Amino acid sequence: MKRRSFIQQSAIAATGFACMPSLLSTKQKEEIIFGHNNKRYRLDTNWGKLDFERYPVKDCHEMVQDSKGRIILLTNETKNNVIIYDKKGKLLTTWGNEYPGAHGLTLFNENGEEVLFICDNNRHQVIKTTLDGRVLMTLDYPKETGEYTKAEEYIPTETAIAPNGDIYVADGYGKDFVMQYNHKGEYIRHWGGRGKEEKHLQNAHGVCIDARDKNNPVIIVTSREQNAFKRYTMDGNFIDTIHLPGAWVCRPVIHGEYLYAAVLQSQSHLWQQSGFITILDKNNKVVSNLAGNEPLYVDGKLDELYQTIKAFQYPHDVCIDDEENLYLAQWNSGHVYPYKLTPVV
Amino acid sequence: MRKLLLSFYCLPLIVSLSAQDSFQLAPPLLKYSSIFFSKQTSLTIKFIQPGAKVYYTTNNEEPTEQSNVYVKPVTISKNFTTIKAKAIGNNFTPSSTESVSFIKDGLPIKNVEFTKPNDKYPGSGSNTLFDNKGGNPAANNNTWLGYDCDTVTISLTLKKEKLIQSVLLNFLQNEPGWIFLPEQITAEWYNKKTNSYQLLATENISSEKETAGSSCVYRLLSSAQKIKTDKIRIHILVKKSIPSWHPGKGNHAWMFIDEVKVY
Repeated sequence: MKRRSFIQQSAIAATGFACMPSLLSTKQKEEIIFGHNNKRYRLDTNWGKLDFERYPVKDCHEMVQDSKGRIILLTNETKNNVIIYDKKGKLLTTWGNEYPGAHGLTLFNENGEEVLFICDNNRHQVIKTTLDGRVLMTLDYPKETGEYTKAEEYIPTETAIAPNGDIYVADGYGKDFVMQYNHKGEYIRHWGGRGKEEKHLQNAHGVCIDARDKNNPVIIVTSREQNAFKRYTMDGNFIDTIHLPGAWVCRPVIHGEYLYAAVLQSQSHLWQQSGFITILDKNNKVVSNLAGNEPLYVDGKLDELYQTIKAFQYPHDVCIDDEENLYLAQWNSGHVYPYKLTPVV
Repeated sequence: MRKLLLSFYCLPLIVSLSAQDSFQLAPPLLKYSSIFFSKQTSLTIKFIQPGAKVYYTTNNEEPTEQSNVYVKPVTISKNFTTIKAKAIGNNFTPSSTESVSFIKDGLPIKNVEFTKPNDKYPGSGSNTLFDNKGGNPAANNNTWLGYDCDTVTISLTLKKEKLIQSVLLNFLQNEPGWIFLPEQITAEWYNKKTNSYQLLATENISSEKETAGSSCVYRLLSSAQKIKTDKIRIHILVKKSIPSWHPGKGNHAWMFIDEVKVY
C-alpha cells in the first residue's frame, strides 16, 4: 500500500512538472561565482533582509564594521538611520531619526573609543557621534574656505579621518572641494574643486586615507564622473590619477593590501542599474570585478570596465569585515537590504 | 484532494530553485564612431563574460541562439541597417537587446541655419547638423544641439536643386534626463515659382508611455511624391509640458537633435 501510494504520487508530481515546461527544460544552473583572480565570491542576497514594516530602508548608503565585529549600515530612512547587524545578518539594534540626508559613514578609533562621522546631504553638515548615536560634534558649511556663501552650496558626501585625528570632508554633491580640519573641527585647508586641470574633481563622492605604504600615507579622492580616483598628499598636493574607464566608482575602501569600491553604474549603460564592484591591488591595478568584466590592461592602460551580470543595481558602498567577507549597500535599488559576499578560497 | 495538496507542495520548491539560480546577463556594449556614414562604417561589440556569447542580427529581428555569433566587427553599408545584439549563456537569463540603426548620408547640403541652442549644449559648429557625427546617446556629447525653448527652426540649403522626397531628423530620447521627442515636426519645401514655402510633411509625436534609458530615435518625414527644390525649412515644437507620469511633470522638456538628412 505504501509503495502503491508512492507511485501514484510520483505520477501526479510528474504531471505537475509537465505543466511547467519552461521550468522543466531549464538545465540545472551552475552556481555563479563573482569576480576574478584571487578575489572571487559567492553572493548571498538574503543576508541583510529585515521586516520592512518595522525596519525600513530607503537608500542603503554606506557600511562600516566596528571592533566588536558588528556591521553598521547608514540609510536616509529617518525611522532608523543606523541599522546594526551581526556578521550573520541578525539585527542587533537601530538608532537615528534626524539624518534625512544620511549619506557618508566613517568609523574612527579615537584613543580606544570608536566614533562615527555622518555626512548629511540635506542638513549640509557633518556630524560626529558615538557608536550609539550621541552627537559629539557638528561641522557646518565651510565658510572659512571663502568658497561658499550659504549652506545649500555644501553637500558633503564622505569623510576620512587621519591617524592624528584630522578630518577630511569631500563635498561630492556640492562644489567638489576636499576640506581638511584638525580633530577639533578647526579648518586647516581645502583643495580640489571643479576645473579643467588634473588636480580638479568632478563629483568628489568619496575620500579615504591610504596607508598601505606605511611610510607614505596618501589621500585618495573619488572623481566619479571622470571614472577615476585621484591621489593627493596628506596636505592636498595632487599626485596622480587612477583611471577606471567606464566605472562610476564610489568611495575607495582600503582593507589589507587591497582597495575595494562599489561602482554605481557603467558609463556604457547610464541610469540602467548597471553597477558592479571593483577591486584593486596594492599597485592600484584592477584585479577583479564582481558582476563586471575581467580587467584587461593593454600597454599598461586599462580597457573599459562594464557590468556583465545584472546581480546588482546601483552599488553605493562596500564594507570588508575581519574575515574578508564583503558587504554591499545599494542606492535607489528598490529598498533592497545589504548583500553579503563570501570569498571563494 | 491529494492532487491539490501535492501541487501546493511542488510549486514553492520549483519557484525558489529558479529564483535563486537565475541572474540576467547585462546587455553587450555596441561601439561605433557615429551612426551616420557616407559609404560604409563598422560596429564593434564588447562583452566578455565566461559562459556567454553575443548573438546579433542585421535584419531587425530579435537575436536568438540561431543568429550570428559575434566574433569580429560588423561592416555596414546599407541605409537604415539596424543591428540588434543580445548576450546569451546557459547559466543565465538572456540580456535585454541592444540596438542601433545606422543612417547613410543623403543629398549634399550646402549649409544649415538653426535656432540658437541652449548655451550648455551648443553642438560643434555651424555644420553640426550635417557633419555625419552623432548618434551617441550620452547627452553631454558635443554632437547634440540642446533646446529648452518652445520652437526650433532649421533652414537648410542643398548644394544643388534636386528631386527630393524625405527629410530625416535624429533626436535623443532620454526621458529620465528630461529629454523628450518633440511634440510636432513639420518640414516645408521652397517653391521657386511662388517664392514661398509649402508643406512637405508633418508629424505629431505623443509621449504617453514612458521609455527607459537613453537612445537615438530618427524620424522620417516623407511627401507623397518627389519635389524639386534646393531649400527645406523644418519647424520643431519642443514639448512644453512634461507628461504627468514623469517626476518632472508640468516642466518644460528638453529637445536634442544632432543630424538632418535629405533624401
